[in-house]
Amino acid sequence: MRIKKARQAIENFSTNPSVSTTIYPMTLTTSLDAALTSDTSNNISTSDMSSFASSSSSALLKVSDLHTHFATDRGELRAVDGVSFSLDHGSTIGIVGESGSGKSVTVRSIMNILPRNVGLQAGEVIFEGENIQDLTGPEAKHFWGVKMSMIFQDPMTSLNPVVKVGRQITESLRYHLKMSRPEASARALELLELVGIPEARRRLSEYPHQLSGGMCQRITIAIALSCQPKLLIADEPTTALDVTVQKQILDLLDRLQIDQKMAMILITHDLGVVAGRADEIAVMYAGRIVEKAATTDLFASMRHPYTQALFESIPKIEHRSHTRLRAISGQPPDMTNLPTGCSFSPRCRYAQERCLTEKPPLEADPVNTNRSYACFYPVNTPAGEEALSVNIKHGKSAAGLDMSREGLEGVSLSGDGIGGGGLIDDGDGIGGGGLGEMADEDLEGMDG
Amino acid sequence: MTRLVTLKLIRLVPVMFLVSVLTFSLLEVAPGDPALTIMGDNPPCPSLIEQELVAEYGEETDISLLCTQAVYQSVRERFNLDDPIWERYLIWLGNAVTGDLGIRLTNQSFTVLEGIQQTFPVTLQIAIFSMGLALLVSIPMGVWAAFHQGKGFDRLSGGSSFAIISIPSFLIGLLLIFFFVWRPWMLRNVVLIFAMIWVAWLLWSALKRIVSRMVSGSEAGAHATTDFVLAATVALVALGLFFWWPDFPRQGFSRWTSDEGILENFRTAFLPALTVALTEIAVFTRLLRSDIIATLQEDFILSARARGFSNRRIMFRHALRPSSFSLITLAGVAFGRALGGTVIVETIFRLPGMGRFIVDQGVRLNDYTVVMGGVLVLTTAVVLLNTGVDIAYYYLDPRIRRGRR
Repeated sequence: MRIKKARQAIENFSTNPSVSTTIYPMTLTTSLDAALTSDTSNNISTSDMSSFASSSSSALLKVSDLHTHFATDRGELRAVDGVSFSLDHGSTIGIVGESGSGKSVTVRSIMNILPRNVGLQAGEVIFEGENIQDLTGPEAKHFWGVKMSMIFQDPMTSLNPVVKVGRQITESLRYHLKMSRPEASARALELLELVGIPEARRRLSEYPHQLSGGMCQRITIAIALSCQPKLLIADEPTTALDVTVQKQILDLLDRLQIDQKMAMILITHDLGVVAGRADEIAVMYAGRIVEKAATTDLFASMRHPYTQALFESIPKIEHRSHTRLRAISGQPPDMTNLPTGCSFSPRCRYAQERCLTEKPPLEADPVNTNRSYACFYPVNTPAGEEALSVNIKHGKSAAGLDMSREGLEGVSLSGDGIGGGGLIDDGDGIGGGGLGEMADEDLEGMDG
Repeated sequence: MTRLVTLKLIRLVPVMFLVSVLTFSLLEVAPGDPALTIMGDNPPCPSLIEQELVAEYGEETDISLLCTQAVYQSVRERFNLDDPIWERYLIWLGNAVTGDLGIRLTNQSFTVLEGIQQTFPVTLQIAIFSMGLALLVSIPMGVWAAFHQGKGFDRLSGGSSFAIISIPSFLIGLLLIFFFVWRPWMLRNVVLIFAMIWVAWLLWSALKRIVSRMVSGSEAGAHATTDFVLAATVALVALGLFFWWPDFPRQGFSRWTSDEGILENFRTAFLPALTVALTEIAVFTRLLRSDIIATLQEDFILSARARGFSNRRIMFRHALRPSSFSLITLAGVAFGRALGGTVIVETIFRLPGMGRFIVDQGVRLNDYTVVMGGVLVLTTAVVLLNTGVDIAYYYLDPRIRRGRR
């Protein structure tokens, strides 16, 4: 099932008209680069390339050093541990990572919808020059859901099952924008037409259970857009949907973003989803951003071993059938008990002694300052190549990861016993629609 | 909609048939003989029978025993007690269908219908009062406990709920009588003290709010005003209760149609209704609390929060309705139970209700027409209640409205 989904996702990616079908060559750096350049060039024309400079003063949203920790029975859980990024008017940032990497908690912190057991919340979120924590009174009452709004993963459950669709849309309009009843219903009708719902008038008086998943997601989008937000946060908006519908929804979001001149935070665990759509991509691991770069730069050459591993775990069309996927070995980290050094080091093929004792900071690339990563031995750099060859020579990484089990060219390995953590043999671990469903419980379980 | 109601009402027929058959057979196997009750302890010997017996046995024989036997036979014949059970049932059924529930065997100057007409309103009123009271108290408490899950109020209400549920209802009734009737000053003072603590807490939090607003420099908000209003209301109600503490009667019942008026009726109905309601309050509160907590985990609540709605709005507009399904079901069941099972409460408070009517006048005396008539009315009421619950579902949850569109 997941494999199928993964294939579909890749096909989805490749059917994007401007991306050639040969986007996943063994050496990523060349043709992907070209493909993505041609793709993003028409996308980016709507947004400002200079937005990638994180210190841009005109930024719509600026998140600096965001921390969200939870008090759990097993100890403090640092779901978000120092995340910073900024987003310009009308641009898109994609946040990518496994389940449990803290991407949902990051945006929920921004949306102010964290569960109650949040232990510590620190850092600044500046929206249009104003710190959102300082909002009070009516300004705060009509901020979330108006200036920024959010759509969720599962449209079937994120609509109230006992309220008519029309009333769910008009509720925001009446509550935030103080519209009269007829005004609000007229606007609701417009919104439904805007998100491409046929027979909009009839739908207004229907209940969510009478609609399909794709239809429901269109309605949640209509609700999110009802107050014309400047920022739309989409938390895995297509994960729960059928693949054909996924593309429709993503295309709809693309179109609406341009029409409404919104900025967007697109959360996904599917690199294929953000590849053609985001201006910038932030890869999260264990509550931190480990790599952040313009989409073109990121796909042209990855720096963080985790990004690389994520990318390689996507099945590729030109692989022979029965090719073993190169899933990321090992388990996602226990978020309440992270390693002292780099959180990814136990699973990293590049890990050296230094990685085990020191946390690499997120630093700008010395050559291309628009990209940053948190790694001492970045991929595709001399230091990284050397680290890798040292590890291969020793047969294992500094953290003890067995290197022999997955050779660099080992894409077509077959047989059992491959993969350190056994995730390769686990159908669920194969990153398809998701690069990892592995640690769902970690964060999702806490939301109560 | 009409179709739904019609269907439910049609369902009433087999249920009532079964219940009446079962009740009738049960009465048949139960020990005792209605004829003996009808006769009484020392039945006078009617002169007609006496003459017959004298003619047969002569003057010298003691005919009193023979006379009793003869009377017994004539009673059994008169009320068809010797007919086979199915025949008697069919006769009863035939009459019941036409609205004739028969005369009371043991008190032949009254019909069963009259007895029910006198007692059922009392039971119905107590049931309605207690359910109203239970819902009125438990819904806010459940919402509040769910909203402050794990905090002081939630734990307090949880603990006291289990305490109340574990007390049998006759004991609750006696305890209420003890405190409300014999020791009213205790309650009066306790209520006053609690109210004062509450008021002090409200004022304190309002004060804190105002100070913090003044420090942070923004406008003094409406929240402090609500606190003041609430504090004033609580203080007034508590003082009013303290000075005009109502005095509840130990027993007895005054009908609202009687000369004493409706206030007297409320006064006499309060303690019995509270006795029934207390257990239900405890159950309803816990049920609603846990359902709301479950609903609050739902994605649509998260998305409502993301839409920037206030907590109060989310609680009452979004969470309450999807959380009310099991409460509605249970309230329907509890209502039925209150109708049929208040005999204990009616006995404690000496209410002229239907529970006592059926038990004292029917079951104890083997008066099957009373039992049958009472059970028939109760069954109808319970089935109608369930129909009401089904209709409530229909309105509350659109997902069950299948086959309509």
